[in-house]
Amino acid sequence: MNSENPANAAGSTQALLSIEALTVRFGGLVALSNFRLEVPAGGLIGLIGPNGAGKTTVFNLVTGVYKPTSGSVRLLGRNVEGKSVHAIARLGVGRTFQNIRLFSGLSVRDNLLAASSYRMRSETIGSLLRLPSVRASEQRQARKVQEMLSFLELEKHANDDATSLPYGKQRKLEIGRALLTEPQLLLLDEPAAGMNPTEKESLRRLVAQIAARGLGVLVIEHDMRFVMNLCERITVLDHGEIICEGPPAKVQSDKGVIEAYLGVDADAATTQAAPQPGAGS
Amino acid sequence: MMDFLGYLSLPVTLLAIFCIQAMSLQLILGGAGLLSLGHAAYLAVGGYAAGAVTVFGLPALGIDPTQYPLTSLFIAMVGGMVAAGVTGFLVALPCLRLQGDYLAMATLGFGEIVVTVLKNVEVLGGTRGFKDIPRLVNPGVLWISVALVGAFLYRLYRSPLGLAILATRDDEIAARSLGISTSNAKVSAFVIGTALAGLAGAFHVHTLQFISPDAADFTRSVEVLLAVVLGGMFSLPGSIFGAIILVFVPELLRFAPAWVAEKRMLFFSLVVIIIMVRNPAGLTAFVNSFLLRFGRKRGTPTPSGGP
Repeated sequence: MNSENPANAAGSTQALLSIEALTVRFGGLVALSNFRLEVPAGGLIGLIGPNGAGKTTVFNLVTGVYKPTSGSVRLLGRNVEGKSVHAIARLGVGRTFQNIRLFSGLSVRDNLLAASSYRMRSETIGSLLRLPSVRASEQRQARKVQEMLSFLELEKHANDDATSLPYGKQRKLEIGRALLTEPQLLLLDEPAAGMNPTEKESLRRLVAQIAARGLGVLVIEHDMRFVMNLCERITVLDHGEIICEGPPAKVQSDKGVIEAYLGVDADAATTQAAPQPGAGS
Repeated sequence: MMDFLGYLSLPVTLLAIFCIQAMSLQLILGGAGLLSLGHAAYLAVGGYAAGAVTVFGLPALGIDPTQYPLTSLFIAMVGGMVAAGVTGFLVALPCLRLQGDYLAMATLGFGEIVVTVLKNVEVLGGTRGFKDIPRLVNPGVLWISVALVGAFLYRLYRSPLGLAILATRDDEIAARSLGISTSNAKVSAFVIGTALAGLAGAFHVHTLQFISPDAADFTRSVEVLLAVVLGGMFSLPGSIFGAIILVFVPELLRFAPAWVAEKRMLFFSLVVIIIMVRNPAGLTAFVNSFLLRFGRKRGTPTPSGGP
């Protein structure tokens, strides 16, 4: 999928995404303070924390929706400062949204086709005139969409309205749409929200497959089992600050993390799996 | 009967022009989701510009339009499209930052500006209108153009730009995350739509041989809007249905019993209200559900965005 990626071709070990000392303030509110994060190619990084901790703010800073107050976001070694949202997307960042954002007026297939429209835009005139050269690349694109439909197991829904799909399939479709922009970095915002256990397991395998292709994946998720099974490293945010960072085992046993999540006295909760009776809820 | 057919020839010609105008607005309204209340202004700009080409431009170059009607018409068409498209572009740059009602107000205001300006340009006839434009259009050229515009828009909706326009309409934030420049998509839709309205203007002046500032009037804009919404604003063929109904139902009501014919616009309004109440999604949705009910499968699914 990323064969034309120069960074990969050069065998560079440079991180896909590297965030340094990132701070953003909204008026008096510090939404994120001194945040740092690295996502390597093929890496599966989790971003967790209680509601309002600043997780989605990180996504919005990386994708250019918000501008940082200070600090830097580098994608493939390039500073993204001042770049527009669509320009950053074109650098190779795909994302999904916390509340699914599919194109409601378009079919499942057209939702996927829309993802390639920016790369095909120079071919609009040729497409209108049905030039043979453009026909070939249109067919190539249609094939990619077909492959994605089968990868997502959505073939039989190809012509349905996207928003008529069941919730879990809409989430998958949104991921597939982001993948068709051929990103190197994929940002997933609560991909497992509202899914049943079977759907979550199928999603976990899907995301692992995506990372195995060499994409860096950054996942925001509230489902701890899902994140712990999926991610190699996890960063925990609370009130805009990193309170823990490391492999799942370390994060799971971190007292600060348990406190932030459960709001209990850290001493009372000696094991995260089974807080002692009476430790409070 | 022959009288009736002869009588119909002008409405049929005007219908073709109206179809082009309705399709051009369908791209802006249904395709890009931009509510423009001043669409007639672009027909007027295109019409005046095309008229100026054949009345002043070509004779100045030593070409007599009546001797080379098709070539002259073609040059006038290009002139009308460029003038309306450039105007559309200049309106789009500031206005497309606005959304919904605010955009509607801005486009409405622009339409009124066009009326006022045209009334004060004496060389183009001022309030008396622009007269003595050569008649260069024949029905064949006109209906072929309707078909070409329809085919162009049909292909556009399936092109990368068309998908970018539809995606932007449905969700700007998601569209941007896919690398789509949403402002480009909106401006492109607006410019293409206004240029096609300019084409309708070029046909208008070379059919009726006359255009007045009233052509840019708000009521004209509402008529086109009504045709698009009546047919189903997310459907390209729908805008043609809408145009047909809007042109022919009032004409047919002339032949109704006198008590109806006298108040035909009143009855026509009633018909429109009933259609819209029964089918808020427009006639196309009605026809589709009708076909489905009788077990006819729709061949290719029509995304509500595309035609």
